[in-house]
Amino acid sequence: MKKTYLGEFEELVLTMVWILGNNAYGNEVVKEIKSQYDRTVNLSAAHITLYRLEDKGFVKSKMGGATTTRGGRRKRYFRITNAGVSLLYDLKELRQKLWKLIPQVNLIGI
Amino acid sequence: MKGHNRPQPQPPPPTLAIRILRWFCPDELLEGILFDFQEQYAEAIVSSGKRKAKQLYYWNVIRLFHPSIFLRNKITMSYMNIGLIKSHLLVASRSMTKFKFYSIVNILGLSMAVTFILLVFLFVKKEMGYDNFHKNGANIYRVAMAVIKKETGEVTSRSAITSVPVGNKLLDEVPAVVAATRYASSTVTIIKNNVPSEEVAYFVDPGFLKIFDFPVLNGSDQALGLKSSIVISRQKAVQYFGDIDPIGKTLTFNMNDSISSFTIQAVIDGKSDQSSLKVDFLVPFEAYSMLVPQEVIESYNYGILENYVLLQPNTLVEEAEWTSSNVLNFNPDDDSKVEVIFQPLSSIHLENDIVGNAAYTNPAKLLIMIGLVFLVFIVSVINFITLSTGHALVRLKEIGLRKVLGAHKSMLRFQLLIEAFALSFLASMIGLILAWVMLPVFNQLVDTQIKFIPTWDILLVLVGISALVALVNGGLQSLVLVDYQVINALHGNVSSKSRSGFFSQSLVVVQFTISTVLIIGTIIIRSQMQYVQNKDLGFEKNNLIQISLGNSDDTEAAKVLVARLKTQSLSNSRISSVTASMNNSSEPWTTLTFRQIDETDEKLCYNLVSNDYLVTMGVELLEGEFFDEKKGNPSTDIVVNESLVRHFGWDNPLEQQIPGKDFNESHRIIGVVKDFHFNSLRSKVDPLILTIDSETLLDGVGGLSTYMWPPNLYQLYVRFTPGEIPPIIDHLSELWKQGNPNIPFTYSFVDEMVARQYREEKRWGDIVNAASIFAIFIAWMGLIGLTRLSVQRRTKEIGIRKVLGSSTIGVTSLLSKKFLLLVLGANLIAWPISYWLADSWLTSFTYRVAINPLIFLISGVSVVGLVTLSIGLQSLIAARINPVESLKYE
Repeated sequence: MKKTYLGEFEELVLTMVWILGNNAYGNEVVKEIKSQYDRTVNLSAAHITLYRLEDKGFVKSKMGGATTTRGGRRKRYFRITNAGVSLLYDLKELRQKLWKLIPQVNLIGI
Repeated sequence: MKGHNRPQPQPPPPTLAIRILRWFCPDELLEGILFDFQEQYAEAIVSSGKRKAKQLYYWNVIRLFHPSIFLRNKITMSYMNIGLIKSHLLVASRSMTKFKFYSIVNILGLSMAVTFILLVFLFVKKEMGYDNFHKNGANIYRVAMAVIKKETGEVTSRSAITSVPVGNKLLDEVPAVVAATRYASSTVTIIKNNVPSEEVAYFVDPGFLKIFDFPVLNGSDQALGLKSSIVISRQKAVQYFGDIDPIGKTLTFNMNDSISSFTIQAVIDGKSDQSSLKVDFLVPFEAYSMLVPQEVIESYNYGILENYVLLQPNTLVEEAEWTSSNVLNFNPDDDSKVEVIFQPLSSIHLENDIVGNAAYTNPAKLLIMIGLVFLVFIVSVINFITLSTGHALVRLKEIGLRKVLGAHKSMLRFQLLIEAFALSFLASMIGLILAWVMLPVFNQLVDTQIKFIPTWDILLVLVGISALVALVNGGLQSLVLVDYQVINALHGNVSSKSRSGFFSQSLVVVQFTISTVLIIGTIIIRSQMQYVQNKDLGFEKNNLIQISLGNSDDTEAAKVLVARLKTQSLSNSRISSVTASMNNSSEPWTTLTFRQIDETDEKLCYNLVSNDYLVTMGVELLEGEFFDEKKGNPSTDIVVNESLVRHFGWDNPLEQQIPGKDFNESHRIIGVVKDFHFNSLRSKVDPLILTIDSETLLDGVGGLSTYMWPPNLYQLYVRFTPGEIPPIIDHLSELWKQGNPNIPFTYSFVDEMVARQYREEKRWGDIVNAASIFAIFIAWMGLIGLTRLSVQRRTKEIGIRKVLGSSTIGVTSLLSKKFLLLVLGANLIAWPISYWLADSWLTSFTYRVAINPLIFLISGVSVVGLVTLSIGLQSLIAARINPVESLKYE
């Protein structure tokens, strides 16, 4: 792995952004984590992480189109960047490498 | 979720939460965040109800308050260019001149508080800055000792007054101690040109000026090593020699009836306003043996002076204390042991537990002062807040127009902040001038000597206060003003139920509660002082003079002197009787400690008197008889007071003996006197023994506390008949000079001395009084301002009411009712608080005045009266205006 480190939660959020593709925004990420992991995540925590990922250049964001309700808000959509994708790949490879190093005996012994 | 494609009724999110969010969240992120929050909120309402959803929303906002969010805000300093500030200041000055009354009340109130703050700041700074000019200050310690009973661990005494050899012993045997000096003080008579005057001299070791850094102005700093040489302070040099160079001149001391001359070798700067140690006359310690018997100087048993030690830098003090304690516990068989405490020099001035001769200030004094200042400050800040928010509503139009022209909320806030700062800084400057003017009054009030030297920290205090007031005030103002809808603001449409209503009303209540508490406090302190001064003390304190007989320890000579003065002064027909006593009327009396037959220790008060003591002092005799010159009582006769009889539970006191174990010579109680208050009214009348011979009980006595050593007649009391006083003083002074040319004639009136015992309390009364005047004045002005604002705002309403037939009285009461209710409410809150405070203060007196409920009523009525008068008058004026005028308003 290169100089950039990613926390567990950051990695999770980044993966979710990738999974959600065109529909990745704060609340959707939270709900996706809930449905995939059954883990309740605070919305603000997700937001803070998303902005941090944006600062690191792994995701980019843009505001959504006009809303139908008057005075309504637009949502902020996030998309994974190439750097984010390659980082996730790197992480995955590294992990697989590590898994291979684990002695098989232990697994059988369970 | 797909719901947001179709327009759906959105549940309104909590507005406060959004406001908080807006406040810290950078604008570019806000919208996206708000959307997500809103969506989750809507879902949560469906899934878990409105209450839970709201909680979640708030929780989200709180969780978002994270450095990585709020630090994203760009600091918008660039907006606040100088031109804008100039324009804001211009607008501020215009609005100040336009609303003169409002500005004056506002500024005056705050500047009074600033005055008070500055004065107390200077006072606290001075008290904290004592003794910090010594180079070695951090390593200088005063030796204090605690005596502890080995069996029970009970501390029997703690004092910084220690025995003479302690310092040198520690210097010899404790390696951490590098230098030591004794510091003893005594009253001596200095004779110059045949005129005697009483001075306090300090007896120190040669190392004194090496440990302490009193700057030597003139002469040699080795001076203290030389025999019969002294060092004096600049102040005393000027007093005794004026412009003449005092070095090499001699001063004649009369110590204990022996005359000795000292040559002045150096003049030092005594730094009397920064030093707890006074150094007016520094005398080599050898001379102390003229005042104190050799056995006392050599003994470890008599605590009579202070010992100072200089420790090696970086010494562990606890370790040095432990070693020193071991050095001083000579006899392992004693039933008590001593524990040495090294008190850092810097802590001595604000130490009131273990004290010695050095001057100290009770730290409670500082705390109370700071507390009072804080209260006055609150009152004035509240003024500032209520008035400016009230006044700001008048300026709604300006704000509205600014908004229409495109002003951002943040710019409006900034403007209000700048205005508030300008106003409060102006007030601070006025406060600075006021403080400078009032400093002499304050010095007298607090009994201190503060000089006004403009320093940076004063400026810092001023800017700090201004910034604080501006922040609180400008912040609140902008809360009230800036969020008004433009349309309403332009309309001048101020809803009477504005949010600030309840808020400012409760602030007014707080103000008047504080003021009333202070007023009641003043009255209670006053009445206790009056009670104490008028209480029957058991002796007749008026028309009684006390004359100091000097400090000779020769008991026979004293008796002869008393006898001579007595016969001579009685030749004046207005002098009715004369007596003498060991103890005086201003200090606590001597106590005797002795071992009783049942092996427990007992402590009784003791005084040595001469015949006629009872008659002269005007004390009543209860049983038996008093010492009588004609009978010539044997020295074994003693007289006791009522308390002592009660203490031992005797039925026939005249047949009893005081149960001292080692009282080998049998004494006889010949009379019992009625209790009289020889000590202050803070304590009960203690059991007392009177003798006419100093040797009577001394054999069996283990400890004797006395401010003068040894027991002797030191005071003469002269009773005279009422009338002109100067002739009597002249008569006595003439007699005195004939017999004692070497001792100054010093006299005082006993009633004045008794009053002086309560000087400190009286001073507190004055200080609380000043604070309460400040507070009530500021609060009162604030209330006038508020009434005026409300009258202004309701001018049209008043006009219409009058047109519709309302009477002047009706309108007046309509206008003033609300404020009166507030003040009444404040009184109701203030009463229990002040009752509790007064009650806990009074418990320090054994003889205390009962708290009269009338006091509460009177202070309540006077505050309400003051308020009614001012509000009522304004309302009346408003109500009497011709409706045509008021309807034309605007």
